[in-house]
Amino acid sequence: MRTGAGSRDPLTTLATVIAFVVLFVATFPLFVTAITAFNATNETVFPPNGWSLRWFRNIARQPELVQAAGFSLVLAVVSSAISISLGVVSAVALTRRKFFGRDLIDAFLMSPLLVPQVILGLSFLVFFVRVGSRQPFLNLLFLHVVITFPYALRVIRSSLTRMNPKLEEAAVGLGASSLKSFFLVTFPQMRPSLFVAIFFCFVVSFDNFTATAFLTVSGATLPV
Amino acid sequence: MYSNIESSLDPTISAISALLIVTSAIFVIVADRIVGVEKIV
Repeated sequence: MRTGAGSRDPLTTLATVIAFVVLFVATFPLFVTAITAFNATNETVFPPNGWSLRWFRNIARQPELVQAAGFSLVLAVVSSAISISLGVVSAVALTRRKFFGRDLIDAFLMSPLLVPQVILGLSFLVFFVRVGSRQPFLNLLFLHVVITFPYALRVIRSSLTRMNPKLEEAAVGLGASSLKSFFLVTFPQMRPSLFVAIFFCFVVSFDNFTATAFLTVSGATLPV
Repeated sequence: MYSNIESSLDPTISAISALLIVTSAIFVIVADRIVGVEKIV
């Protein structure tokens, strides 16, 4: 059997070309945006009319943008931490325990992924107006936890499903408490999935626009 | 960012976007070194 570049069949070559076209189409807008940031003039044109770093320096001169970025960062970190904590507990319960209505609860917990964000934002707006909540950060935190939680749950749960539960059972059989076996056996195996879950939750929270726009004034978070 | 674009269209927003793109790229590279992209995707 021949190997190497010389043995490529036309189908593989076509697939490679399509993959590069998709990569180009997907990343070209990002490339254009990044390049326009180096414009010397105050026009957003591509290719730039000269090169400058003035627009990067200009970010620091706009306190509302820096403040919004800080607010979004704190919101994303706190909501991710809460979602990951809830995700670990829920994933363990849904994966390791069998109880009545487990599949229904699983589907319900994943539902924020299916509901359009416009509906989610509007629902939370109506809810917070009804209960009279005047805490913008807490309102947004609640919303972002609801939005990011399904990502944490799905990633952590798929990692738990792939693990062998007999390792935990063996640890318990050797005298470890169930809590100790979780932290010494299960948790170290979950680390890659936790990393992924943190990444997803942070990104989803940090760049959320649609639902967030319902609960905040213009410019409070970085995307809005 | 959205309200800023509504009021003025200078490349400041592009600069913020560029920083976010670079940060994301660095994060993916670090994640690849620590965990491995094959475990992430």
